Amino acid sequence: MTKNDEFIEALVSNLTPVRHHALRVRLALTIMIGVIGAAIALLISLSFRPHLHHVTVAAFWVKFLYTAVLMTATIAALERVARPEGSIGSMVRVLVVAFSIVVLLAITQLGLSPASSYPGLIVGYSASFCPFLIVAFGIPAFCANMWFLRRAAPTRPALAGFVAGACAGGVGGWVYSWACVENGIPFIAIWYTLGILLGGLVGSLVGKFSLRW
Amino acid sequence: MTKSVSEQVLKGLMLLSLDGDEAAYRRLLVILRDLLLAFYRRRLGSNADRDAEDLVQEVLLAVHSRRITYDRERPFTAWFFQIAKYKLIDHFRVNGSKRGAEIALGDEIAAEFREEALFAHLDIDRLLDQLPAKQRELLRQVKIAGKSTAEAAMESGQSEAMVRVSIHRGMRAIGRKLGFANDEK
Repeated sequence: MTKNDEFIEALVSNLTPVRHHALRVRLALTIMIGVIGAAIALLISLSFRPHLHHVTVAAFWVKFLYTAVLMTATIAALERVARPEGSIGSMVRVLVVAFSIVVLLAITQLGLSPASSYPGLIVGYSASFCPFLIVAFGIPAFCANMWFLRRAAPTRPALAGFVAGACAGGVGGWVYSWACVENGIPFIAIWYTLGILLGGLVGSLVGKFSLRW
Repeated sequence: MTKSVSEQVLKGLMLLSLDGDEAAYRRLLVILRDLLLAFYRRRLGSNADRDAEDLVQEVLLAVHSRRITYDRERPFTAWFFQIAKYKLIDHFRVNGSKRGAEIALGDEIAAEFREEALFAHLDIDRLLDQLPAKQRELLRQVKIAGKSTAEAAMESGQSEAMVRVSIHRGMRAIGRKLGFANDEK
């Protein structure tokens, strides 16, 4: 009993006030670090990769908005899964709806294009490395997200890791979309989604082992 | 009804604690410690006293170091309960053998670890608070913490007979407060 009392006294003497929305502020900082990290990776990669010519406005906005929606949904889920009673809320629903819209747009684009352009729209120049670059761009975000979660209280490590990884993929994909050279919406639907999912799977594995407390 | 009362009290203390009120924080931690100690002891059996105390410290430490994850808009008891449950499952995971059966058993016990069971204890706390300090402490040790009357006597420095009488009186007083006059002996 006395050992316990001393323990409580130690905790009490160590008490510092917690500001309102402190977790949210910390999350905002985390995401900012991730975006800046991805932007630096983008700048570095541009010096290797020739910045190729005309990307259509439509393709740019589909990429930009699709990844922005995925990123936003996973950020919201990240805040929830960081709390002990947290569930991921409506993240899955938002992701499925966003993906379905992009798939519909992709089918429409294929329908309006000649069959000879399909390889360009689906595989493009960069299918072999696009998903991996998205994951690579997301690495700083992933580290920041894990730092955030390790100081929070996620009670489902694998799920929390998945959200952290998918969110990092979303950040990476969003920044990647700023300078992506592809014009095919099918390309976006397939390879961007794969890159973000890959991030989630890696995150789930890492989270399973490193998010226990 | 009683649950919402405990929610109000605990949440109030937690909000004060988050603002840096040390007295409120101390009171909160003491209540939580008593809740957890009684609860884990019942769950782990009386021969696992050490484990129960270690678990209690772990939960209190987690409450302390992860208090930023408490959302002021949401119920405190749900937040706290999830941490307590997480730590119990973790305890079974670490200490149970690695065979799946044992882990499944751990999950089963954890599933039985309900929020109501944890906070049902709070009613008793309020009843005890109406008793004289000495009686209250003895009742807490023997009837809640599960110590023997001999142990309680040792600790309080009274004779065992005195402890028995004191506990008997305390129980009768509580019975009267609850509305059944069990004066049949």
